[in-house]
Amino acid sequence: MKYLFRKLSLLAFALFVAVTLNFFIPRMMPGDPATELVDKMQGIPPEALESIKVAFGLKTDDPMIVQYFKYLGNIFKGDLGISLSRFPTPVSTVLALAIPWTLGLIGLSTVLSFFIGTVVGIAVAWNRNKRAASWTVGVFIFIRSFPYFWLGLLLIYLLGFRFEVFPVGGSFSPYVQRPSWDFFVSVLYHGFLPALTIVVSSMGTWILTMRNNMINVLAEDYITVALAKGLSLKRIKTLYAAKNAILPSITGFAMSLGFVVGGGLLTEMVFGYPGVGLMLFQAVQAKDYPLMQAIFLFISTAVLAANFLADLAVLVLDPRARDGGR
Amino acid sequence: MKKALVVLLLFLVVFATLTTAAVKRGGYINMTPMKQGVLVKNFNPFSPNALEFTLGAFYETLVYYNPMTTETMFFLATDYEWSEDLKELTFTLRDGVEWNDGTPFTVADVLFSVNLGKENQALDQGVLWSVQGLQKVYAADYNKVTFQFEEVNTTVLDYFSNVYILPAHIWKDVPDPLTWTGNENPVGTGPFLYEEGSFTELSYRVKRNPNYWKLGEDGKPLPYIDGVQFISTTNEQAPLKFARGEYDWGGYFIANIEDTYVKADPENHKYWLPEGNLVFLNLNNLRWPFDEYKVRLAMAYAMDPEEITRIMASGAVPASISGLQSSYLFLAKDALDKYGVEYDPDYARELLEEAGYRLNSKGIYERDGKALSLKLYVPTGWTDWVIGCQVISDQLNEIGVEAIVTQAAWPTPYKDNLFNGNYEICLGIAVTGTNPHYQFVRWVHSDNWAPLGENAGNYYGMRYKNETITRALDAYQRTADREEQNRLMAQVVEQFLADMPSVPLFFNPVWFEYNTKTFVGWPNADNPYANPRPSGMDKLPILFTIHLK
Repeated sequence: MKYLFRKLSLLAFALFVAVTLNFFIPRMMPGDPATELVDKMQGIPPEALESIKVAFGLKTDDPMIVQYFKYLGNIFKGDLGISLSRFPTPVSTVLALAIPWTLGLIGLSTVLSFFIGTVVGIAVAWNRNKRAASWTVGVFIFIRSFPYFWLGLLLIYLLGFRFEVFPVGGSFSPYVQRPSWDFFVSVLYHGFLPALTIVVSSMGTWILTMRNNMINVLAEDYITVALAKGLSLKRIKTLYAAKNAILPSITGFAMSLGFVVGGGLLTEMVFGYPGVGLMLFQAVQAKDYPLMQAIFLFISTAVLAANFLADLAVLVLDPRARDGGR
Repeated sequence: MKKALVVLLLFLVVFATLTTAAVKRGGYINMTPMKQGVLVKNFNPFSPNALEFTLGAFYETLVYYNPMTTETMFFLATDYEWSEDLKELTFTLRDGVEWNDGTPFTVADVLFSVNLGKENQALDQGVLWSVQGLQKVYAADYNKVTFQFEEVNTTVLDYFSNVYILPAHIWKDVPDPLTWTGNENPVGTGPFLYEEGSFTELSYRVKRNPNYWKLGEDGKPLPYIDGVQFISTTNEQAPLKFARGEYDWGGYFIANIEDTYVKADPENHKYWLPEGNLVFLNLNNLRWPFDEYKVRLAMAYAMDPEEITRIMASGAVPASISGLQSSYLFLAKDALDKYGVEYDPDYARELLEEAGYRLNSKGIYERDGKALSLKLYVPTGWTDWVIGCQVISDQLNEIGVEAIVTQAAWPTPYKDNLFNGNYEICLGIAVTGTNPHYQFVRWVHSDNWAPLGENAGNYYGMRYKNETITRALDAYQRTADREEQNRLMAQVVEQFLADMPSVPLFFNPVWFEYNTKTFVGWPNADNPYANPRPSGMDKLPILFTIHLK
């Protein structure tokens, strides 16, 4: 219980720090969004700058500290403000458009990659003396060292551009009615290349983590005892070895789930996938503070929550954690 | 009876010729929205982020000045007239125009739309009230609207290209027009309607307004195309999608466009990069060494914009030394004969020697112990400009002037230094706007002059003051006579060239890719009938012209 309380208060404190930094950091960036807009877009007369500033609510006489408390108050009310780059649409509406795509693409591929990676990791550890196992590990370590976007570009060029098997980007075809079966198929079709990129390039990490832990655990005495007792090999492999070896992987997995909401920034950019990552990139370019803040807040909350959940999971899986980590 | 037959026959012949000559109607063009990635439905004309078809395609202005043809096109007005004292401008409204919900368009709609900006600066379209000195707007007749201005200011007419007329019967009940997102299906007078249910995060469609007031060559309402399909993309994706021919009209920067886009289908993949804003070598006229005419002139002779733009390879177009866009070069004809400058580094050296400069041991011109070794500022990370500055530096090096390319962040401190005059030489930008007056009044009018260290008010100028120019620019605003205005503008350009306060280099391009596979009639260098920008009213001449092949 004490363990839980300690984790909870840590969570609250970290959240407060994240929210505060979130307010100040974007304001340290040079320039303001209205000027940015006028400079970038030809066609807006520079005289309109003042009008735009009024519209954006940038003409405020409040000192920074008052703005900060207003911001804190609004967050508690769940009011994230109005997006400047998509004025006058509220940030929550804008974000709600992107979140499903990111959760769908990055979330599913992360889960998929974790499961496949872990299973493969168990298998290669169990069969570590076979040639095929060493090859698998080698290949995935090699692939893991590619940056996501590079693999993405390669796939787009080959399968999207050269051979036109898959679309080069986007997340669905604008010509199909939604919702419908065709739309669902179109989403899968468009999501295939980005998902493949993520799964293939992140799987190596899971394989390696699982394999190494597994090999450590397999060297433990209780495994030898279990073998000596003549338990079935399958039972030893899953319940004795894998269950214990998976603990560090679970923590890593929870972390990466937290980062999912940030979207694979580069993957989404390369594929023009309308998720949170692409939106964050565009918000930064447009100096859209409210949208940036909302996305950062979303990411930091998710990472903290995921960490907290990982702690809980460890609590359940590892009896040692239950008596205060001793 | 016989007569009737003849008439009928004649009618048939005329009809037949008309139909054969008529353009082919139909089809949806595929277009890139200006917004990248996720689209949000926003048809609010007051929002700077409204989707580009909001302005022009849904809501129209009274008049639109086309900077490419230098003609005023009439939209919701059919005529305008200045009062005797040039303080009142009266528009005659078009008869029989209806909002797309069937309500007639009236003088009340114009009054309502303009008056919105009287109290609220954010709704002040064309900055009529806040900058242009509008005092009153009233209905002079059932179809006439009069705008009363504080002072004589005839250039205000151009600003009406940014004043969109909204339906009073819809907007009068909106508590805050600025943040209203309720016009999901905009009621406008324009040539297009929103196609209901077509909006997704990445796309939307508009269809033609079947009752649009303007008629095509075939006597039926414009436009010829059935509609426009917008599909959003990103900088990273655009080149691939263009090469695959997925767009009929695009507005993206594409590196190496000949190889990536044109080569994929040389027959149909075309582009045209008309002149946008002017980029010039900003010489601080209040500081050594550019307070001296001969040194400034030497800089002009040292510059070879052709080479600069070729190496930059960003689509930038070399500018005339007069700083005028091609469509206005006729104004500079005489002045260029008199004061024109052609690339000539030897003559540039001569000029420096005449000014008393001598080469020092490092091969740099020097006078009274001060060498012409200067920092050339360029905004950090503006890669095409940075490359341009390297070339400029090389070219200056050839005439014995050392220009050290120095990157500074935009807007701070770059823009601040411009505001305060804390530089000798940097790259500057002059907004070309609708016409040369717009450009020069922000660029070389003495209103933009301030002593060093004081805020010059805008970042286009180079702390230059010339009474002849100022007088001519002011006089321009006090006459409504086009001929007289042209004469005054020619005078401004002549003075500019005679004094060479800065060196025009190149125009930033307006990016425009088009595909002639399905649709034809696009503007291009041979037929520059419109500025191919999808924002505002600029796109309308194009949408009235393009049609199926």
